Amino acid sequence: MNKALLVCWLIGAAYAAEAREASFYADSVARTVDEYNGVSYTVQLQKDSAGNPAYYHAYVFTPVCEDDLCKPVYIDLYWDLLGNYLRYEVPLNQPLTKLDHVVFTPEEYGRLHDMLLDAESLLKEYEIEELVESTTNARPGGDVDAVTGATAKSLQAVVIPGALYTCYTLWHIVHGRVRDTIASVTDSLASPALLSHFLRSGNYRYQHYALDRLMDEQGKVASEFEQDVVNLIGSPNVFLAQRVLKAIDSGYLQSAERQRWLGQLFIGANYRLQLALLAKMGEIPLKRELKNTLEMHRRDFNEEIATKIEQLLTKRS
Amino acid sequence: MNKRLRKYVASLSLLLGLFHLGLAQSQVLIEAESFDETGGWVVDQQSFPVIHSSYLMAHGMGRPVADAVTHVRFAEKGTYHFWVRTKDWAPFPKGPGKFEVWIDGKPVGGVFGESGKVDWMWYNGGKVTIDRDSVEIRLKDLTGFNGRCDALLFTRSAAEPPQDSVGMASLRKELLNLDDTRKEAGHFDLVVVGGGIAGTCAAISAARLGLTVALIQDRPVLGGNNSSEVRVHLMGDVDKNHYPKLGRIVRELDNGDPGNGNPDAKEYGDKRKTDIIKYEKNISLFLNTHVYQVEMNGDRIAAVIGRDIRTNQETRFTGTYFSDCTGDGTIGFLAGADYRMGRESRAETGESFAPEKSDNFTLGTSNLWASLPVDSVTAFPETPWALPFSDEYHIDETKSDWQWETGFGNMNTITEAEKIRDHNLRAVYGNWSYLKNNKPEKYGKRELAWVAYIGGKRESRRLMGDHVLNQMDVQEGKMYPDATVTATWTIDLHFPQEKNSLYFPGEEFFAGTKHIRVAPYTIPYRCLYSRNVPNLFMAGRNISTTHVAFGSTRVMRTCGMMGEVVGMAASIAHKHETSPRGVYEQHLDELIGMIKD
Ligand SMILES: Cc1cc2nc3c(=O)[nH]c(=O)nc-3n(C[C@H](O)[C@H](O)[C@H](O)COP(=O)(O)OP(=O)(O)OC[C@H]3O[C@@H](n4cnc5c(N)ncnc54)[C@H](O)[C@@H]3O)c2cc1C
Repeated sequence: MNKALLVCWLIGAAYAAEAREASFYADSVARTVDEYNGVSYTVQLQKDSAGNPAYYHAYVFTPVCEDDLCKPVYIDLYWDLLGNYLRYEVPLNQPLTKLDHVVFTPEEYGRLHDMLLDAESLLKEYEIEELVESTTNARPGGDVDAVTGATAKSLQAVVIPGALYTCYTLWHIVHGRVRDTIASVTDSLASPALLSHFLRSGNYRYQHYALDRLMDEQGKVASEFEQDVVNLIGSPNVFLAQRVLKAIDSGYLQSAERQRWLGQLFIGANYRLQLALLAKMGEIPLKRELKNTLEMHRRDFNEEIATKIEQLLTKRS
Repeated sequence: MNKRLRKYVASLSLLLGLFHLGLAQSQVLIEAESFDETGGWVVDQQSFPVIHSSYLMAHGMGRPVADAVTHVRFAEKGTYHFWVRTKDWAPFPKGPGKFEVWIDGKPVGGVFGESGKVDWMWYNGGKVTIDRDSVEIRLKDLTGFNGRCDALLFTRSAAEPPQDSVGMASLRKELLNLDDTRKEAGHFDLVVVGGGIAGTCAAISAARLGLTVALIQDRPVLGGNNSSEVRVHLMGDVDKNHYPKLGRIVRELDNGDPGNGNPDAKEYGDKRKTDIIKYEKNISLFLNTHVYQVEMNGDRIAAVIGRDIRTNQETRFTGTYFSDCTGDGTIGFLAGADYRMGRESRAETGESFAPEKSDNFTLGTSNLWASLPVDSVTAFPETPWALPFSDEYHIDETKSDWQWETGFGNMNTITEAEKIRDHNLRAVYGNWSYLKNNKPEKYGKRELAWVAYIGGKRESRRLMGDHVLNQMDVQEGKMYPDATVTATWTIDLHFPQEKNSLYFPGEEFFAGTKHIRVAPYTIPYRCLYSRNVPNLFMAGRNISTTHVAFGSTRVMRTCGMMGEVVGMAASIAHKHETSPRGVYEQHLDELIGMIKD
């Protein structure tokens, strides 16, 4: 089979760079996935040259409808380590086709990728039997409220015209049983080294995954992860930063060095994080140096921040 | 200055085209919205119920707008204390709404709009010496991000001007001489306040049946949420009517379906609507006029008073009947009509979709927006004052739809309309900034084409009539003898979208809904007049329903048909010299006959 790539849709520049620069190899970890439509395929872990788990791959061959009206699909699918769809490739000599075997246009390959990226796609709600009915234009006669036009974009807007079954089948494979399979494999691989790697990855999904595993209810983590977790408070992803800040055991933020860092972070932080930082500072005995920093910048922001700083500075510790 | 003299000076200043210039010797008040030229600044009246004034806003979608300019004559030369009434609209911690005031070519008082304080206040701009008869004043926007200015004040006294809005309202009345310069618009058979789809249809319907009608609308265009200022498309069916005659006027106003938030303003047919009104000889149209006061005669409304949102000229309208089509139920509220806001409890209404306990929850307000492709890559600034987004959470869309919605009971649709709009802007700009700066492949060559500065409101007060339509009426398709408009929309009650709540708890700006199907049902005439203000009709989203039933009645073709019915009922009431209720009690056959015919 000609494995030259016709299309290679990549999510985000990071993956693109990774895929181009690093070399990957297939690990021995492989699982069979039996899909809802009777198709069965193997999903396999891929590792980078250093031996770290990198992503999952499967080569899938699937019919997309029950009769012979549509050609079957040959496709390479890629997921991240948590089962989130990354990209697909199709072989040059087996292009995707629409009704009457018309091949996909380049735009349509792009649209397919966008559609597959959307884990909350409208397609999720539909059973295959409901498809035709919902994409024909006719409103069921006499049914007063076929007017769900305001609910959400209609299915027509989501799928590629003439390739409804292809879209449906691929979306349901990509977001189907394979996700659980991948999750269980990754769970079994979640070594301290991998979790550390996750914390530093800059990928919020991996970071949340690692936090779920590493942080206990008191916000404590094993000492080998402490610095990596604290660092997340400085993440440009304010939602992640806030999560860590809220949950983390305040004992980790008492050293002079960490407090100096928090002070600097506060000065340049987004407003939402500033408020979260001040709230956290209320839980810890503040060192002189951090107090000085706060005092110095007390009037730089707004009333609310000034008041909160005032409260921190006058608090009896 | 004694009262007489002041009046003389005021009318003289009117003659000179200087109406905005309050002339009490020692104080000169200049309303920003009354500047000779507003440049790229827009006039915003949406906070009138709170601050008793319109203001100017630099709505440039991140690009500084052209200066607003005016010329002011000073009766007295000398040194004045100079004050600017403004606010920091996004003090998180400091907002972007920065502007300067230039007097005769020089900036005065520094930069305004970045104080970190959200309240409207007078800010001291120091002392200025006026040594000429007339000076030129410019508002110079520095960012294009919604800086705003209500008024400027030059005063001889060192005392701080009144900071609260009530004190300001009386100062304004005095210095602008509002009471003495008020115009009389005359007497009308029907005074319709609010020129959304409901009000416009009510006015046309009544006028075509021979009534003299005043249609008063506080924006420069008609259509309300369906205007190019808000851009919501018309929904609700007109082809399933029990009385097919209804819906004719709605069809005339319908300019086709461009969807919600279409970047092309023309699609919404503002001109079509004003043109239709202009051909109606019985309608006097008053645009840019915000009604804020009523005069009562016993429990009846005798007159309403409106103020021009730009010139501040006041006008008084007397009428036999009034129709509240403001959406906010403002006329009813001012007249003491019974009203509800928020949700009734299940125990009260017996509705299965009502909550256990009554509360203040309402549907929210939207500021729709759209982007368009451009030829080259363009930049959009970082927006630290806006809502923060990241790869983990942002809304990956090139335009908005109805889901962009703020104010689910956490903010009041009327008294906090400005805060709600501003929260919407912080969501739109924050998200757009994220997309532009982090997803250049998709958004690099796109630009914001339009962001609404007028909030599209869904739910405010509901005025109570002799019947309060409820969920059972709607779902069981009950047909009362006074059945009028047929409605078909689902019970469409929005709530904060779950994921949005997760990332912005208490600060949601994105909605979800459940559509609960209904059989076609009819709206009784008794929902269209007030139960305790005897000459008050209502049409549109503020009619007499429960919160749950409102979820279905609120769509615009349905609202328009309510207006058609109100026009008809007003003509019958007028003919028999009776009240709206009198029509129900004594002339219902005639009303139904008219709707049927
Ligand atoms: C984003 C959004 C999406 C929606 N989706 C749909 C949809 O798809 N289809 C649909 O049919 N409906 C939809 N709705 C609901 C619908 O728009 C409203 O229920 C409808 O506009 C109500 O019409 P109205 O004439 O009663 O009020 P409005 O449209 O609110 O008009 C009232 C007018 O009165 C003016 N006014 C208010 N106070 C005064 C005063 N004191 N003096 C003078 N003038 C005043 C206002 O400026 C306004 O122009 C949506 C609403 C929103 C906001």
